[in-house]
Amino acid sequence: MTDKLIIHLIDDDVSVLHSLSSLIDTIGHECRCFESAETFLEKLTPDQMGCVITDLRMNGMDGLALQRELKVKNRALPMIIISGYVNVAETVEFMENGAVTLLKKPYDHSQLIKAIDRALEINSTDVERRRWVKETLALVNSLSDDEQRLMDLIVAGKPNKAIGAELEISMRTVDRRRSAVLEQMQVKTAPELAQLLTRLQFAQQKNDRSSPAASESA
Amino acid sequence: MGQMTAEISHEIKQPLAAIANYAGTCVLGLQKTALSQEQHENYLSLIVEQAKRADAIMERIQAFARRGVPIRSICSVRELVRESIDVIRTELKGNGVKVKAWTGTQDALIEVDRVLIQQVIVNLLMNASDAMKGQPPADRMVEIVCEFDESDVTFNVIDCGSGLEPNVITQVFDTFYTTKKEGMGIGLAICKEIVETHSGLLEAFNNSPRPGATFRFRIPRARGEINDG
Repeated sequence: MTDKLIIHLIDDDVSVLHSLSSLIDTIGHECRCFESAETFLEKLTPDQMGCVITDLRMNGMDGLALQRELKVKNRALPMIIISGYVNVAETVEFMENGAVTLLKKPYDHSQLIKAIDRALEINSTDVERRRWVKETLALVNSLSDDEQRLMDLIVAGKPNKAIGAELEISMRTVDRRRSAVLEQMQVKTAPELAQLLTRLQFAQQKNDRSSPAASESA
Repeated sequence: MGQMTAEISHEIKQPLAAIANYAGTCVLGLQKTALSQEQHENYLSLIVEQAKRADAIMERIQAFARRGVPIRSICSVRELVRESIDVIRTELKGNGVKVKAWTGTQDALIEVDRVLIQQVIVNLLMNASDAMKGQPPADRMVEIVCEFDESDVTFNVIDCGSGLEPNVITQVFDTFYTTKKEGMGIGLAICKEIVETHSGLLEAFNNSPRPGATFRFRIPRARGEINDG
């Protein structure tokens, strides 16, 4: 269930909701309808993939409040907001908070299709990156303390002799441990290892930016 | 004025958005040959419905705008009731509410602003529908019963909902009183204003012994009309 990309539709006008779901069905995506942001939040599972299309003005929680709520809950589902009337301050806020785009109603269906494609692409990339970070961190954490210490020194560019001296171990041990680390981290050389760890750092930063607390669980 | 314009704008945009979505669905369906004939017919009918919904909103705005200055014409009670039900048929169906209208063995003529009186009946029907939200669907029935005497026609809109709280009955026509957000209705205060402009009377009371409430208004019959008795 959580592997499928689901487009979540939120609008408190039943006709608009039904008409939008008909359109999305015909486009060929799977969608789920909610008459309020509250109901949507209740039913949302932690690892559901896809995106959200929501009306801006609704009774109860509106589109902007929903976006803030998703951020707080560290759920980085890309969001498309639909509105009949919006002011500059609101637009700036939800674009800065990472909305995919704002569609003014009534809109042409081709605009909607473009927005959905972009949203799902963002979600796929995001999900993919999180998965990679999780896996890579798991590799790092599977190293013993000794091995991790060694890895830090390798990546700092220290030659084997200096490593041996600092860790107070023999050259043979350095060699042995070095091979083990490279194998465990699934790389062939020290430069590759350094690159991997740099990528990991950047990816974690990106994860943090799109949803602050998620990195803790990654 | 700005506030009202924003609200009206928002309301009209809803059916327009639905229409654009359904139409887009049909265009895509044809391009991809993805929909059956039946599905196309269905979506197109829904477009018509939404167009009527938009029109109903405009009528309501017109009514609000000219509530103090009616444009009178001779109207048949029977037709008026039937047209009012038509305006709101879809919404009532959506709430699972059945309507029964009894306009008597005779028809009568009244000289009224057709759109305004329609709006009054529509508003009362919507209130009745809302009042019955708590009832099991099978029990949701609103009746329009028209009574005639020599001088007047009385329209009764009878629901079987939860009835009116005693303290509410006196307040229910006050301008800003509402127990719910304004939906399709122009508001009871405006209904009262419209009825009074037509030299009529609008009142509300609980049914007894049956459950529910009745909203009733009386309008003078058109002068010079031949009474069938």
